Amino acid sequence: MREITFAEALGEAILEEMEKDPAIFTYGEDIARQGGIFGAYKSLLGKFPDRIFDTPISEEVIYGSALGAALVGMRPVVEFHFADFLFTGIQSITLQIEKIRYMTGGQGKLHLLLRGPDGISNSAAAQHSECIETIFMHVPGIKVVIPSTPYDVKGLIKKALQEDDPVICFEHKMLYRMRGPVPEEDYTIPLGIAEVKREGNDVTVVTVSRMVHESLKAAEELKKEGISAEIIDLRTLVPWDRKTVIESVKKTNHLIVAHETWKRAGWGAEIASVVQEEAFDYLDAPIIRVGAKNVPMPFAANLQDFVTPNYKDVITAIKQSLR
Amino acid sequence: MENSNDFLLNLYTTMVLIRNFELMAEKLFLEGELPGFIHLYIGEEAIATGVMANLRKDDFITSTHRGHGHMIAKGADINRMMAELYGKETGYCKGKGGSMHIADFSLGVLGANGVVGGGLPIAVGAGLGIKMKKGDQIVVAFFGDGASNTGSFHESLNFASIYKLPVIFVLENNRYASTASTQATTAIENISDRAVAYGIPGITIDGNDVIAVYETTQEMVKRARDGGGPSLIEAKTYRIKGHFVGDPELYRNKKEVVEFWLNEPIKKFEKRLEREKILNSAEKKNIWESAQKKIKEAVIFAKESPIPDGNDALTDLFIHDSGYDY
Amino acid sequence: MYEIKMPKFGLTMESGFIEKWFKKEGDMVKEGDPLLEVSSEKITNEVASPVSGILLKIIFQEQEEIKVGTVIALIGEEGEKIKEYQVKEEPEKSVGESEKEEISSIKITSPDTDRERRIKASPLARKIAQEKKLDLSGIKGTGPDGRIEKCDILNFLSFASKEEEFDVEKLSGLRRTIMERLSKSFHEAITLTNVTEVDFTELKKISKEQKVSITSGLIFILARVLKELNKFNAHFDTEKKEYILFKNINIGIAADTDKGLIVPVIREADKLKLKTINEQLKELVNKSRSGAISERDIKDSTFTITNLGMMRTDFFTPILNPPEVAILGVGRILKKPYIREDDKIAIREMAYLSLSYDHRVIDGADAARFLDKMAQYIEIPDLE
Repeated sequence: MREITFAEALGEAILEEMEKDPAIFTYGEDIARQGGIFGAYKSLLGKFPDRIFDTPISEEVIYGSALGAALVGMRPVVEFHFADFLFTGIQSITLQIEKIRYMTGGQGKLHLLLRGPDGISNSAAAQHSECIETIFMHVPGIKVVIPSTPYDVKGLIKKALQEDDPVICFEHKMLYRMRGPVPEEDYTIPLGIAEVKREGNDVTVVTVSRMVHESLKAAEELKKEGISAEIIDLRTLVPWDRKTVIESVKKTNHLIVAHETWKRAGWGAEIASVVQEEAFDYLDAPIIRVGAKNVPMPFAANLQDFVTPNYKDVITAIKQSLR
Repeated sequence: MENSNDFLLNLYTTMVLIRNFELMAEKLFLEGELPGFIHLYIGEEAIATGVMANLRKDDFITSTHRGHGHMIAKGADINRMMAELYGKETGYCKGKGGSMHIADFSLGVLGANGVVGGGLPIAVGAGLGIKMKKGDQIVVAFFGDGASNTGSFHESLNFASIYKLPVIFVLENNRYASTASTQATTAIENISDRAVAYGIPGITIDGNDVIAVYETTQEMVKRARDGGGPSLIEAKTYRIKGHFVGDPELYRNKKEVVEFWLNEPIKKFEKRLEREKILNSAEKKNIWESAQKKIKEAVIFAKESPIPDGNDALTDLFIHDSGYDY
Repeated sequence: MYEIKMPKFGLTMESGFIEKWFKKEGDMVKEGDPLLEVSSEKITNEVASPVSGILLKIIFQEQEEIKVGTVIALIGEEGEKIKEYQVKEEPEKSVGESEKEEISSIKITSPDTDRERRIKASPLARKIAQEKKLDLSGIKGTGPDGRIEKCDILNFLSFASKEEEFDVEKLSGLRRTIMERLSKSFHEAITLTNVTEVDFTELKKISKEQKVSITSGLIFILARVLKELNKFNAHFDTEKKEYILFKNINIGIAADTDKGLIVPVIREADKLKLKTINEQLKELVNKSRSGAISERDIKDSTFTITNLGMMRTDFFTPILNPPEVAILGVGRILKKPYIREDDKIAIREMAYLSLSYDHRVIDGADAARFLDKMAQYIEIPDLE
């Protein structure tokens, strides 16, 4: 199977859907001419010039207009420059996009996609490194998708563009260049289905995005010590695949939730809480969460490393759980 | 010219209908019948009426928290409106929205909005969508003087201007943003002056003169449909009642209200129609009674409608719903 | 508010028994007034009040056994609000500790429930334990902090379920009765055993001459001793707390049969001649062996003798034959070197007498006296 990068897979997804559906158009900051700051739109450069454009730095109207455009029948794909800047236009998302359909008793279809990069990179520091998917899991009204591989991002984006609900998609900056197998044939991945990226028997690790790869690395290390870890990539947070997680916990009796976002009140706590409610009698140890330390992201590289979780933290958590 | 007598009487009828709906809403609220908040449009009817008279059914509007007038002028079903105010199943939003979020997407009303300035980006988006579709509909974004000071306003006008979107920004300057007087919180007297900053035409008019509203809007609508882009109409009016029903109005004195009441739009238009012998007292009585009858029927409809089923609270969030945990 | 605590009389006293309160709640008490009477296992004492005041609260009543240091009463001013005391049996604590003590409603709790141990076990371990009907308190946990985990449960199960070969034998009716009676006796009586080595040489000689068994001779002597020390010829009724002294001396002889232990009785042994005793004994032994023993033969024993001398038992601690208050055990007769009065060594036939007695009603001194007499009459026998 051919291997392409995450960014290429993403671009392919949007391109293929734009070719099929004339209602799809895309806008955001720095996408049309540059092809996106991480190159996600490189493949779109020059194609559909009137359906892809750059906007001024006006996040409230960038996100809010996606809502208006959807209501009149278009399918906007709006890029947020960095996940951190979702907050500069947050009212359009949490107060408008997430509320309109419900408040109007189900009138209107909000087929829109907000997507963009999140997470750490090269010392981007506090205002450009956040992972904030927890907020959008917490406030009801938008589906949350977090792919970790080129295969996943293409399948999930395509599915989002074919369905009629508002979706926000977080792509970790450091994954854009990652290569992975992606079939030539058309395929989609349904939202709300997790994938067991690695099977195991001793402990379940529930994770997304960059931490999937860290967890897989941890699992490979632990194999040498005879510990077999099962790594589950949730892929979607809203809705999330309870069934797969609980089945796994029933098998392994141990659970770790690993995410790059801050540990305190991160979405990992929600998973942990639901699992202990629904599979209490299957737990042979307390559930452990791995997340960033509860401080803003510092600038110096070693400080960033200290604050951010990686495969070593997953190993520590697994070992702690198993004894 | 559409200024035929029928047309003018239609304008008058619409304003009377709005007025009576609002008076009934006030009465019901003070009697404790309606939950939540009600924000009355009394004294501002000319703006909604005058603007909407230029719009097609397939044109769009976004509204504010003070949105009953916009809905009625766009042709909403009075019964379903009243039922929504009561929070009943038969309301426009199945009891999930209430007065502040009332909407009828089939009529192009993209919702009243409880966030000041919240409708502006939506209107801009609608305009963007229409442009992408290469349609010829237009969007009217209603908002108030208070909203004109939000970041949302600035972003929306700029955005609409650069893409030449078919959006008409109608600023209903009723001199008060909640309890703050516009004068004290706005840096300039005529807010339409701000249009210059976005390179779009801006004009200030007497919002209580329904014909002035109608004619100005007509001009801007034509401009927009022809691809001329957005414009800003500041319609000056006065908020006769408090910000919400039950507002103790400690921030202004009654004398001011009485003064402005003398200039209220319905009386103003009545005088003109009577002067031009278009409206006689029998017809006037008829129009008023007919409006009141409609409203009374709506109240009965609303009262007799069932309250929504509890489980309905968990529906209408997503279209593709896998029964995700509620 | 003054706390009256259970006092300590002497180094080894661990708990005291409240015999009697001299004052009641609400009474005015002066410093030095006798407040209550307390007994320990060694002594009974009056406890005087260390302060003056109103006896606000008696926390423990009479006839209660309380650990030394526990607060048993409160003396203070009239109308003073009583802090709710958590009444529990605890040894004296340092001042700081008792101040931090939790305040809860007054209730008398026993030591164990208070120091309730929270068993740490994972939810999974608990579930498995519940399914297998295991008591978690018997399982050792190897998880962090001693937490019991699934592996601990599984280990326990595999260990416990080793395939043992066994036969199940149900107890016969006789054995069951014996077992129940003895169990009861063991738990009720305070059985102690005094032992002495006795010179049987003379008794052995005379028995041989008279053509009677040594046991018969012993029974003859025993009957005489029991007559003289009548308190040994008795039963004690635990429930009624009654001491029943018998006029008749019916000596039971513990006999081992293949159906178990039975105790045939020689009635009014003190009135019988030695030869009669010997005959009766012979008959009873035969009957026992053949299984012809009747109900009549084994009832009404007032004192029991048990002879394990024919087997290799030297001295032992026979269990009482309830409700009898004493039992005499006889060990094997062995030739032993004996140092005479003139310091010369002689060879004598020696055996131990083991007297078990119920210390609830018979003291060590009594038992000593008994053995002394027995030894006397055995060593210088007069069997007429």
